[in-house]
Amino acid sequence: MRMIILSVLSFLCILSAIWAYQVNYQTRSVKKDIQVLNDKIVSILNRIDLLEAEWAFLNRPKRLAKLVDDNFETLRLVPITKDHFQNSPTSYLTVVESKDGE
Amino acid sequence: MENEFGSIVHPGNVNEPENYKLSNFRFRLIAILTAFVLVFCLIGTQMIIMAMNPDSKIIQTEANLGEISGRKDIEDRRGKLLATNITVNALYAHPHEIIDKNKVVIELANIFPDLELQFFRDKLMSKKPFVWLRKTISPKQQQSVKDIGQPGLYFGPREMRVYPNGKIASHALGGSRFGNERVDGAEVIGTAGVELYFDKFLRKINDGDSKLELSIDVTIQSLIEQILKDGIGLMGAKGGSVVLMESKTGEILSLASFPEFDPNRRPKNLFKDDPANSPIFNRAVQGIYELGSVFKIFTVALALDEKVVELGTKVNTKGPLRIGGRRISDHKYFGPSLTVEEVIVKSSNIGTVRIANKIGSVRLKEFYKQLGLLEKTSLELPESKLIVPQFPKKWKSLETATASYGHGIAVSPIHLAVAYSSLVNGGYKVEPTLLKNQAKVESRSFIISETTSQLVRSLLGQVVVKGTAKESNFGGYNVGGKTGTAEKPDPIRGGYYEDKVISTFASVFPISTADYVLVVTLDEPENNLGSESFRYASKTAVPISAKMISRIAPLLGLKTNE
Repeated sequence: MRMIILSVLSFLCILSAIWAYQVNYQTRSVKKDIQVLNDKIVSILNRIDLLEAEWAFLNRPKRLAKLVDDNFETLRLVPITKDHFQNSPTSYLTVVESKDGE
Repeated sequence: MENEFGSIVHPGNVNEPENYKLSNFRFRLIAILTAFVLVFCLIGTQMIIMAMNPDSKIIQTEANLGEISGRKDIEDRRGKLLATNITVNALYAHPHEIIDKNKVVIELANIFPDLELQFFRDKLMSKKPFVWLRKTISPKQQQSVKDIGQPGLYFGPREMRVYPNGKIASHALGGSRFGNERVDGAEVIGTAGVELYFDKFLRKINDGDSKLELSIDVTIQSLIEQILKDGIGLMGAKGGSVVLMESKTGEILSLASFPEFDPNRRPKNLFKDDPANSPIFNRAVQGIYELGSVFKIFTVALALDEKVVELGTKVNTKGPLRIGGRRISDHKYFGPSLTVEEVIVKSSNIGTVRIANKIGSVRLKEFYKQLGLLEKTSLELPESKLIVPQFPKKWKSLETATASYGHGIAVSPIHLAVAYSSLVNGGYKVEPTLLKNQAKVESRSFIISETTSQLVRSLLGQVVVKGTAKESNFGGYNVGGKTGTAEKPDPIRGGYYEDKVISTFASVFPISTADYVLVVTLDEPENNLGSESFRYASKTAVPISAKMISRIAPLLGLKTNE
């Protein structure tokens, strides 16, 4: 009887040792994965920062102004003035009509 | 014979003490065994719990991304980037590891044409085990350095501060530099402007706020800078500044000073004799000037508020006045008397002095203090903490007289914008701020009544309709304002220059609500566009302001009928 208990116990012990060993190595590999992922996240965040900086750089007012000037032939963009505001739909309609009449 | 634990027990030798010892021994063994089993069970259970529950905190701390970005971004009021970080590399070397030093020196000088060959030679031929070669290099340069194919050259990551808009809002932003440098990174330190003022806040990452939001509007700022630059070019001025302020909150939408600089390459202060000529000098904040006639509205506003005069009250304008040995006159004779309204519209010194005399010097000085004209502003710039207005210590009849029309008292354009905002916003004091939505609305302290504030607005409107600013086209907007042309003090000979002026236009728009205050100041302008040359603000600062207002008012969503 004692032998049976002892062997079952030692079997369980070996089993749990194997399990613990596996968990240990799994943890390490997961940690490694996390590190890889973190590095990836950091590099992607850095890249986002860089792209945002580039976007801001490309949209700097001076460059936009130059683009507006360069493409005036096709886009006909002009500075916004008081005439671009409308008070109500009726006044909008009158403007459209008067343009049609031209 | 062996007992169950394998120790030998001699038969027949079992006496009481032995038996006692044996049972004691067995008890200890069982106790230890139980303890071990218990502890193992405990650890085992803990392991199982941890393995079963992936949300466990221990795993999460591993995922903490920590210090990714070394400094917070700065954005304008509409979320456009003003300052951010990008990761680049620094180049350093271990000279003793390099095999062919001459080759490396020549190649490096080719890759970095802005640095001398001698610079690299000195660095690499030195006996030091470690030398910095360059603080920041581009990815392309990094590849070229790798292509040299020599050992001993290394790269260290760097968070570099970049200002994508270049020179725009340079004085508000200030600049930054590298502090402590290590191979694996370097700290970035603010050196001026909001970068320095909010240095602690900007460095504290992971505290919830990811950015600093300024009240500046980049689109408007860039337009204003462009118009100011063009205007200064046309008038041949030395420099100039602009402040655009929301009158009800004190938020600064635009803060410009010309000449400007690029915060990406902030220049050192190269002008030791006169710092005011340096591009890093912020004229809007650091420049204190006698601004002249723009002050007259303060005197008149106080007189109206104290009810010592009304708009229609006749004021004696016969001159010249002699006070304390000094002669005060107008730039031309306005006749024996003007109404209070005309005193402002025509900008009469004598009239203003006579109104000031009705108020008294104590009250006038107190009012200037309430308007914030006699103390530092609370603007969030390190530069503003050093700037105290200059005004006479003793405030007698002569000082009162000159102060009433803006002479003998020197303030910065920011001071003027704050004072005008406080006069036209309904009459309560505002504090200037560069931060979005920071204004304290609960604790309003009124310095003039709402009725007086309205009168001031209409008076300023009259100046533009029929007074010193009537010639300019404000793009169809109803604008009010007051001009000021003040001769510059001569620091060498004393007294004032005859041909050098500071010309100022402080304006308010739209008149009905007075939401915005614009202060334009030009240093030594001269309008030579017509047949004659003019230095008066009406021919210099006013047309520039008019151009600005006609461009920015639509961007602020203002319709003309307002």
